[in-house]
Amino acid sequence: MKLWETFDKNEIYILVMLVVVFVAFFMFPKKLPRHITLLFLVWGFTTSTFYDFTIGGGLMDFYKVNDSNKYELIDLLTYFLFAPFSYFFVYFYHRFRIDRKTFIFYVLGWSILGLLMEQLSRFMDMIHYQSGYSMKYSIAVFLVTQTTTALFYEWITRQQRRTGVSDDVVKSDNGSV
Amino acid sequence: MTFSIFFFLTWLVISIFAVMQKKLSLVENTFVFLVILVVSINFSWIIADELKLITLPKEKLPYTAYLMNRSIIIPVLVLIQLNICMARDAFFWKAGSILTAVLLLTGINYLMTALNISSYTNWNPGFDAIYFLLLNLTALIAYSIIDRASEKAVNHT
Repeated sequence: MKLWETFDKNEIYILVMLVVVFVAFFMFPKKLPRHITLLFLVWGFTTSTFYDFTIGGGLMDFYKVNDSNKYELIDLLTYFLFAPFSYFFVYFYHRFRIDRKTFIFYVLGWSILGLLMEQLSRFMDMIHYQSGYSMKYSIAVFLVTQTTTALFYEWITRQQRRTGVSDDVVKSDNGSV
Repeated sequence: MTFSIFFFLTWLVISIFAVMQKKLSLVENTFVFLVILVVSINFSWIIADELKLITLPKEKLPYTAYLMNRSIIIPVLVLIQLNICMARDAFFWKAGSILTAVLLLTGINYLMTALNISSYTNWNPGFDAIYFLLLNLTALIAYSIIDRASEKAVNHT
């Protein structure tokens, strides 16, 4: 397994983005409990890994991440990029108190942001479509992923409220949990 | 037929997990599932596609069966084992649950070769057993991490 094929535009983009998103992650006031933060960081990492090794590899192989179809260590760093995005999706869902009236707009907004980021990633040679794949298929991917993430967060908050263990934990705004 | 067998196994493990008495919370179960899924995906990719120790099918339905095993059967079975393991404190209970899970997981992987879904080139069920033992231990470590994070959150309130 190589670190990367050649160190150029896509590797610089990934390293810069990693610094930006993780600095943002540590700079933003902590509004979510530690275990929810941890869960959604892993959620983002796993989702990107799952898609890449399912529709982005194997028999389907709809896109290539970075310089080759082989597993490079820079690919692993690419998946880490998605962890803070998943966290911020839930973070702002909580901060903006998304409800029945705003749910659809919130998911649509994040899907548009996701598509724009994907095009930027294509421009920076991080993602390369192949096997007839195009942006229109990513619309389905983003809508399904973000709707699932939002509904799953709702499920967690409702369950914790029902059990009464940590309503304050999940909904607290004191920023120190 | 291979697809049907693995579809049935997938349905079975999900159903068992859905109806069983769970010792872990929703957050803990999800966290462990995600960690095991990442390890399972990466490990299967490295041994099959990078190191070519296992040959995978080129046909769509057997390949889907392989994906179901990698992404659903393995993580959910490990999760079932962890919930059973946490039900009692006795050492033999915990060791027994881990060994049973290792045997089941190794058996299912062996079934994949018996049904010609995958074939071992430089691999054998012994390596599978070691991998699944380590995978179950990884689940225990993941659980202790999220459990500690949850405790801190609850203690704070």
